Amino acid sequence: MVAALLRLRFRVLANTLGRNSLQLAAVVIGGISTLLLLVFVLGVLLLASTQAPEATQVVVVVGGSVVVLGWLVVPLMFDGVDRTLDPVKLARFPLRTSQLMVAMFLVGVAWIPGGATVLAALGTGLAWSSHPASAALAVVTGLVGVATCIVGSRLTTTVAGALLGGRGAVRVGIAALIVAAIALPIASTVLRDAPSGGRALFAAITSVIEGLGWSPFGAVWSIPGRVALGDLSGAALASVIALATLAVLVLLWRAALGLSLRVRGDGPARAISGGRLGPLGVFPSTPTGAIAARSLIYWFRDARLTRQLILIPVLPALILVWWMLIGIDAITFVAGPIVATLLPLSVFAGLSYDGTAFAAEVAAGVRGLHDRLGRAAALLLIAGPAVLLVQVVIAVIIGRVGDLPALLALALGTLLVSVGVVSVSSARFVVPVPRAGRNPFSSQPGAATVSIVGSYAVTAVTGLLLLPVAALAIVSLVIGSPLLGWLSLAVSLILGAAIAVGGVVLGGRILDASGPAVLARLRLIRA
Amino acid sequence: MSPVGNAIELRGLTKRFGGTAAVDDLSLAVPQGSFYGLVGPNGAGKTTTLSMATGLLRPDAGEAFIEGVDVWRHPLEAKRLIGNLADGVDLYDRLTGEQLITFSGQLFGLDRAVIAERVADLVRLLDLEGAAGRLVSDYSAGMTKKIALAAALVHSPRVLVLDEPFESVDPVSAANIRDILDGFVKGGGTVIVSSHSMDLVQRMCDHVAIVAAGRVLLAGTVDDVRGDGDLETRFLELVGGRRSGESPAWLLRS
Repeated sequence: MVAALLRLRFRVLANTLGRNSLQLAAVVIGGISTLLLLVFVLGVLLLASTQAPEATQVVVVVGGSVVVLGWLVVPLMFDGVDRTLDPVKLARFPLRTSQLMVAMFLVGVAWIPGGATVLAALGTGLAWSSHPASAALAVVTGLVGVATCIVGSRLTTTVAGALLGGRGAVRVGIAALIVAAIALPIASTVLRDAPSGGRALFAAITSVIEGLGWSPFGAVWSIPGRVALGDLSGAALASVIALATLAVLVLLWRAALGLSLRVRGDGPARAISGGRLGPLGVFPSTPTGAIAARSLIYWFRDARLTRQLILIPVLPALILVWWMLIGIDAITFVAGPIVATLLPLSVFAGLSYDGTAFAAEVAAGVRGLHDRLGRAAALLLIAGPAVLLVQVVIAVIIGRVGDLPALLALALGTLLVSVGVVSVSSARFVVPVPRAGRNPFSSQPGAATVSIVGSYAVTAVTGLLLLPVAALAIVSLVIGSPLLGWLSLAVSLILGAAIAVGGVVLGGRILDASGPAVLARLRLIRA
Repeated sequence: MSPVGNAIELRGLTKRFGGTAAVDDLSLAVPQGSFYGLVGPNGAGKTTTLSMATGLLRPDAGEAFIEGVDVWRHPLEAKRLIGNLADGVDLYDRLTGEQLITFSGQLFGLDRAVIAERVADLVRLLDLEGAAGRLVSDYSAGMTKKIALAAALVHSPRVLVLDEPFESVDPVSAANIRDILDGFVKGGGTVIVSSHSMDLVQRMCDHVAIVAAGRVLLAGTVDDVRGDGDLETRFLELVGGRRSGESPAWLLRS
């Protein structure tokens, strides 16, 4: 049965890639870059083997912990986890949960990221090549480590999907709270020790690394090193922690799967009569107004978009933490611009989120310009106030209210340029995204690469166009001249607005020429 | 360009997917004021044909005219004339039913007051009163079909192109929809529906075209096409593929 599931998964994979050459190219590019990364990692491990065991231990434990954390978190940030074996789709077959778990686990191993992780984990044996016993042990602990990674990622995506599977900002809020609950204690530990500076900071980092070796993330990777250093009782304790971690993750995953396998019947439908049009009742009754209102509603009702809004509070908060650690004001200047880049970037292929529903616009003969204008307006209505708020709050916290004009010039200029660029890119690019209402963390093979490569390209163009817009603001921040600050605000608003308008017009032309072709591609990826 | 009197005229429409032709040099004329049925087996190319006729899918070759307007040369003018219920496309289902109809009306630039009045009418006529404020993603298949139909009607088109409008729709609503369509035709409008229900097409339509493998096998008034028998018999004769009463031996028989 497990073999049948695995065959099914690779059959689906081959069929998907066979009908979409862009996705195939993305898989190849992803594979090559993963291979390069793997070679680099193995090189580092080989280098580490020539160092003292204490240093080798630091490299292996820190690296291993980062890999485990990465598997837990990255699938939540990018569309990275394959859900061909969606438990909900398989619910009508006579399958044991354990069979499904084995199949899903093997699917996780037998694909590019999983395979690379297996090889890298086995590569920890290289790092201990001068300690034969530890090297042999590292092969075993490496495999346990990989299992921890894959089971952990399955667990987080299942849970996060269940939380976000429906709609509504409330559930996204819950997810953000969970992230904060994990991140804040770590940050506060580091922060408490940080202000004492230099030596104390070094001590704090050492203690964090020491702690990592005992944490669920790092314990498994620390075992060979403890043996090499002669700390056998420590190795035994770390083994207990590692195995307990894996066992708990497996049990939690099983429970989460069990919950999602249960077919949820529809409750009795509540009768809700109309009368609440929301933004559709407020915006002008024109194609542009309708599209702006619909986009705005989707930003808050479509989990795939709503999860992007988590960025608004989280990223500036992280940047402030760094600022407190390092104490350089300049790093906080980028908080607003980063939010101003990332929110538009999340819709760089925005039509993909519409899916075939975009047919409504094609069938109505909406002009490309009106479509672009409406979407840009909704984006500005959300990102504009968010960027303003972030930048003002940060200026107040770091005590540089005087530089506010230049800071706003930087952030608002970035926002306008980004809006212009994504207005063009989203008229052209369609990437595979999960359909509305599905687990927003599910994805199709290669989708992560397509969206990552695409967003790199979009970011590069944005950066290039941003240079003239932001130059004056940066100069005025360096010199600290208020007059120059106001001047840069005016310049960046004018230039930025020109680029935004240009992008909207160009994107509209592209869409006019290619509307039905875009719809045809949207049909193709509607898997 | 197009002879006056035809609401829809398709000439030599062709669409290939990969190597195979889904629609193969298909021509069809739908007279103004007719209630036209398009029938054919699964995969006959009905949806592809209607997509090309309504400006959703660019044909590889051939032309499509709506009331004499070339769909692919003057798409904006042509699309104002069409009320389009496409099959196999999603709706903006994170909107409520009422919001979805309003959105469609606004895409055609209708006045807010006009839209509000029409939304109220459509919701009442299609038995969606209790569901108007619910998200379309929570609708059943039949309700989804009805709300899509409402969205296709709201801008008061002259030609209705409806792909499988009765699929999953309950009998009461289906009868109500037929009343709406009958009234529309009586008022001078033109309707083309694709359907698998021969019975329904025979009772409802005045014209019918039988399509298979991307070509029109037979077209004309329903009476001409069915001859002495009924439409289903004629259809099965033309299209073939009947296996006489076979059923797998291992499947339970009671």
